[in-house]
Amino acid sequence: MFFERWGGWALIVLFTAIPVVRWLMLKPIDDRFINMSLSFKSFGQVVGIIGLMLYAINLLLSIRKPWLEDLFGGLNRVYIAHHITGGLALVFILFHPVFLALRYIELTALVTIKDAARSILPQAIHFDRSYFEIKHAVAINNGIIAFIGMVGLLFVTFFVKLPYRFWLFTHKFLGVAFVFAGLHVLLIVSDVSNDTFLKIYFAAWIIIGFAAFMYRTVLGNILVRRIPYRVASASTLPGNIVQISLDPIARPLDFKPGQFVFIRFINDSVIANEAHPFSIASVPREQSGQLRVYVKALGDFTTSLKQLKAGTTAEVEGAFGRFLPARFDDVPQIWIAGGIGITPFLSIARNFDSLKPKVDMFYTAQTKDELVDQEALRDFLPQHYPQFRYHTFVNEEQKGFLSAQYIAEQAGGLEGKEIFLCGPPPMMKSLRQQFRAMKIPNSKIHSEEFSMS
Amino acid sequence: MKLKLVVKIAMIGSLSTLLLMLVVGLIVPESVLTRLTKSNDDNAQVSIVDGKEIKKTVDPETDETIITTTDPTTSETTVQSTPTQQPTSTPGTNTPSTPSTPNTPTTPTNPGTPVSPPVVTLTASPTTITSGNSANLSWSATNSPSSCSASGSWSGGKLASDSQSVSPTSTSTYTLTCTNSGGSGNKSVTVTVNAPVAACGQPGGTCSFSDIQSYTTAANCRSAINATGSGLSAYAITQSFITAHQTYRSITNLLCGKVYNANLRNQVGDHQNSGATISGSNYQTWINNFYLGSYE
Repeated sequence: MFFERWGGWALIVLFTAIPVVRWLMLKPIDDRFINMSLSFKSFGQVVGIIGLMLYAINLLLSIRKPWLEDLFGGLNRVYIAHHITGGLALVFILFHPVFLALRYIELTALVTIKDAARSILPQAIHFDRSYFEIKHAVAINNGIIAFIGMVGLLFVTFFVKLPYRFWLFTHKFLGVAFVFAGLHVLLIVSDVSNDTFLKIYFAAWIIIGFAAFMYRTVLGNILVRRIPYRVASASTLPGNIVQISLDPIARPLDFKPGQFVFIRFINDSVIANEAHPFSIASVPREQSGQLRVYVKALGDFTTSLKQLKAGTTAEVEGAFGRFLPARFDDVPQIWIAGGIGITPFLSIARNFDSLKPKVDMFYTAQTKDELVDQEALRDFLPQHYPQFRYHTFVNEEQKGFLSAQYIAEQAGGLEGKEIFLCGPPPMMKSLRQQFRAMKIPNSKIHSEEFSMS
Repeated sequence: MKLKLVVKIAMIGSLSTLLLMLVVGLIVPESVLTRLTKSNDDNAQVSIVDGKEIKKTVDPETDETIITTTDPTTSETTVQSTPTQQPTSTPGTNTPSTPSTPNTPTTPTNPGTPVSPPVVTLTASPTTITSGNSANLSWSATNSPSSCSASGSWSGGKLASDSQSVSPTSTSTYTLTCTNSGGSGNKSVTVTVNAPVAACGQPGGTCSFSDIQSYTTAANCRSAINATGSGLSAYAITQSFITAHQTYRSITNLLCGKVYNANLRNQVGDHQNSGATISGSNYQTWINNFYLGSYE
């Protein structure tokens, strides 16, 4: 259990620490910090090493592979790690040129600030100079391009609220900036180029990062396996919910109840040709292999899905997610669905004959109309499986929100139970905090938090 | 949310530092930066004569040479000033009027005691220069000389211990003769002047560099090359395949006892070799160490 949640992070720390430890072993530590100038240089080197490692790992975390889900406990957690490593890589890389330039400055001779300024400017390449001097200038310039590219692109990610499709477009260029960063590391005369182990280690990670970028971004249409489907029907339900059914064109998708997929609709209408995540509401063994999803029309893309027409081709990538109550089928469970967060539970419940535990299901929505597709949950399951209890909570009627206290009272306590939570992010955050306040360990609370409206 | 805050702080901190360096480094004139850090004591020359500390400074406002003589046994201090070039007076400035002093300090001798003639030490640094550049002559004389005089390519009375910058246009010999009641002693030094190829800072021109120093520690032969090239704002210390624009380079594990040449290059590609002798005990090869000392 620990490895599933933290194994990926342990590996990130390990892979980042290895070159730092090696770097420290190359020279006595006092030689690296013998004076202010060398100390700045050493700080500059070490933040550069950490920054590049996190950058490479960040690209690797974007490839959406099942083994990454195993390491982090679900794709949502992989993307959280992707986000954090990206932010930290930026922080470390930001200080790389700062420290390296500061080493030139002597407080007793302020004129040295001119050396510092020159060191962060692009270098003129004189082709009449030696090969090594040309290589050095090229390496410096590559570093500057990578720095400006990464800072600019991540500034957009962290501080500018762009529509998803524009953000995605800009985000793809981070791989290009990484190529320049990699060339900078491989070409510059440094501890990395001076030490065989570091040279091979960084070359390997630069290749891994570059391969990940090529696999996902440049050659994604060719290399990433996507299964063709065709839209069978698309209808709008009460509560601004769109129900989409898709028929397989070839072999249907293999998935587990509770998982989600990325779907891209190939069309000429207003619906953007970009992949978005959708939780699967259908069950794996459905005769026709039909895939059914529910979408709450919240953002530009999801609202445009109301115009989806039958016959539209779709590409499905997946399935992803570790929101799998079946993994704990010998433990009592609590399922909590908020609004459209019911979708994975519909798939899980429809597959209930494979599930034996005692379950208390709580389904909450703003209004009664927003409670969708309740037949199986309300009528069929409790009738055939007495261990399944179904509770609804309509905010409008109850004059409030579903609380952990209410759940505990209705379910006869929370101790020893696995809690599965899917709904709007503020609801999940609030309930998780309430459960944590009631001393429920985080490891007992499972949530599906993937959303890109 | 916390990550966003950390990224924001890091972005503001690092980018503003880089911007500040660029703005100050590229816009503020070199003379302003130099003046900001230059103290009045920068040109102070201190020498010990007969146990007395003689400190010679130049007042930047009046351009007068101020000689402060301190006797550590009595803690008595005397201050004398003399114009070094043309006397100047600044209106509104209250400059203390001090009597002019002879160029040579007169030291009383003890009658009845046998007196040895002065022993003069005179050195030039560097001994070879390019025309247009300067060399520094420094000298000292023992046995309390009553007077010292210069001859050859320079002239006039001199202090018993002092230094002077000279800029000969051709190879010149400088002689200093000091006298006391026991006799006189002299010493000569020659400064070789090479014809200029091009002015320092111009393509193909050469520049002279001084102050290439080495220092050692007991356990490790470690060197710092701290080059201050005259007439240059920035230059690189290079070794065949390395270029890095910096004025300071710490180099470890040098081959001890060996003379190293550092190629110093300014922004337009001028070269000058200078030697530094490293002494100590622990060593590797020069190339390896220069290589280590120059990476980013």
